[in-house]
Amino acid sequence: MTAADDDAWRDERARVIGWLARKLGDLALAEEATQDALEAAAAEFAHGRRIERPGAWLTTVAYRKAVGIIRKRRPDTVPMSDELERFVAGGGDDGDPPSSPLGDDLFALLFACCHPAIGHDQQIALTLRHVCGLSTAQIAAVFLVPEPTMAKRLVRARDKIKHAGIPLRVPAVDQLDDRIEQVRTVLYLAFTEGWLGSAGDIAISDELCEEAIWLTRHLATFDRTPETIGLLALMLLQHARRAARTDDDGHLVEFARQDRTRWDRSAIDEATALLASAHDGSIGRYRVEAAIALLHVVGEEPDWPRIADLYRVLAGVNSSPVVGLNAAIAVGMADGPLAGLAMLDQVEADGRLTDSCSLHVARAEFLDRSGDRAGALAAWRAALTLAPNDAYRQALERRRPGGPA
Amino acid sequence: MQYMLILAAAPDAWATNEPADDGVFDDWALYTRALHAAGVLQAGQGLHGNDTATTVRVRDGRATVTDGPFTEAKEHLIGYYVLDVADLDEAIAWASRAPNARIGSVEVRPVMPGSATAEVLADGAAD
Repeated sequence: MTAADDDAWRDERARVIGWLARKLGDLALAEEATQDALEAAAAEFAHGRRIERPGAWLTTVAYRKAVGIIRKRRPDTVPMSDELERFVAGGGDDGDPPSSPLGDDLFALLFACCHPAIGHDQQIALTLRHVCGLSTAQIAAVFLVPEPTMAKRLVRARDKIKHAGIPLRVPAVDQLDDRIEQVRTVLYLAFTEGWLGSAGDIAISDELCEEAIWLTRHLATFDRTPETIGLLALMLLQHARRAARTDDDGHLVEFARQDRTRWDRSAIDEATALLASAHDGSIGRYRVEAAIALLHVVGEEPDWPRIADLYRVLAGVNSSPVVGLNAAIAVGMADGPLAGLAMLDQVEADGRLTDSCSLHVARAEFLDRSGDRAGALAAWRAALTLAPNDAYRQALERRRPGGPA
Repeated sequence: MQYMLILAAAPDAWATNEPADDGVFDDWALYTRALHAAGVLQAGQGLHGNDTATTVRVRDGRATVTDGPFTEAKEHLIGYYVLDVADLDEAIAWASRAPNARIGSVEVRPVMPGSATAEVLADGAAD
């Protein structure tokens, strides 16, 4: 199967699950039936047989599997709604589904998984499980919890959808802006999780980033606002640098020293084109962050004064202390280490950013540049104690101010 | 689907209740009439304040009766509605217009289908 085939199956999988979940009123059953159908597809490929039209094939086979499961499990005493009766009436070993997935079935599923009535952690877990098709084990690894814990969390979330009557449909027009914002938050968190790789497993981390990009592309076909396009551009720009993040020994390489020939130029070009079209006079955080990310990768050296300006704009729509920290770094690069140190002090005084390794790393860098070697060493040691994982700590150890110990 | 809207507000919060262009009704009677006009109203009642509450617990065969509500929450229970609507989004839309929504909270809880009470009352009516 080619990469294009992979994408086709990925799309159809999500569409079929959304369609089945709506018809059956049962997301778990839809997932199970579709999973069974995908295993049947894998068996076809293993025997060297090609499936010409994945969508039609998956719809039909998943439908038959669903009917089979219902008929086997449902005791005759439990009544089925008229609608469900009609839906399964045509099923069986060679029955045909009475309807087909529509374009918006994928979005119906996505919006339901990201419904505000579902807790934030569960929104990401549900989206990764049912829209992206990650396994419970993979999602558990991302959240650093045991698999049974994640399985329970998913069951509880699906129960909430069923019992609280969370509708599987695209929200009404007057709700859409808020709900799209919610989806963007979930996708951004999924991407960030993949990028930071706290699970420590490169394969899962890369997959998370790729799933987030795939879904954000879909969202951008549905919603062409600058914020959604900006989010896609932001993800593409970061992911473009993925191959250069680690050297051949698997060590983390800081941005300034990355081998730029390893950057994915086509992703950067695509992001550049997207950003060029994403204007409507509004200022949104993803759009601005993407513009900042773009300034980092074009030209020989990042345009620090322009980046610092953009961080000032960003602070107006996103007052998170992380933005403040990144703004301080940009100012230090643009206006000199003393200006940067002054801003870092402000960020620290703000109090919301505690145990920030990055803050101490930045302080060490600027103290070093300003000639305070002893201060730089002290800040560097503080940063080491706060390193979030081994790879990061090892990379830091190689950046001792004044050279190796 | 049936939902109970559980209405809560801190007693002193009403002092800060300013009319605003946010879709929230300023009057319980008007809100109730709107629910009825939309065909969604099943039940509803205001409750006397927390100071009038009495809590009963039976432990080890002994009933204890205490003054006050069962929970010491800052927001007090002030009433409820039961609505019959298509889905959670519709229930949320109505909840966001309740007069206490701006200064208190409205919990939206799905009602379990089937009701022993409804059956029993229906049987009683048939006598």
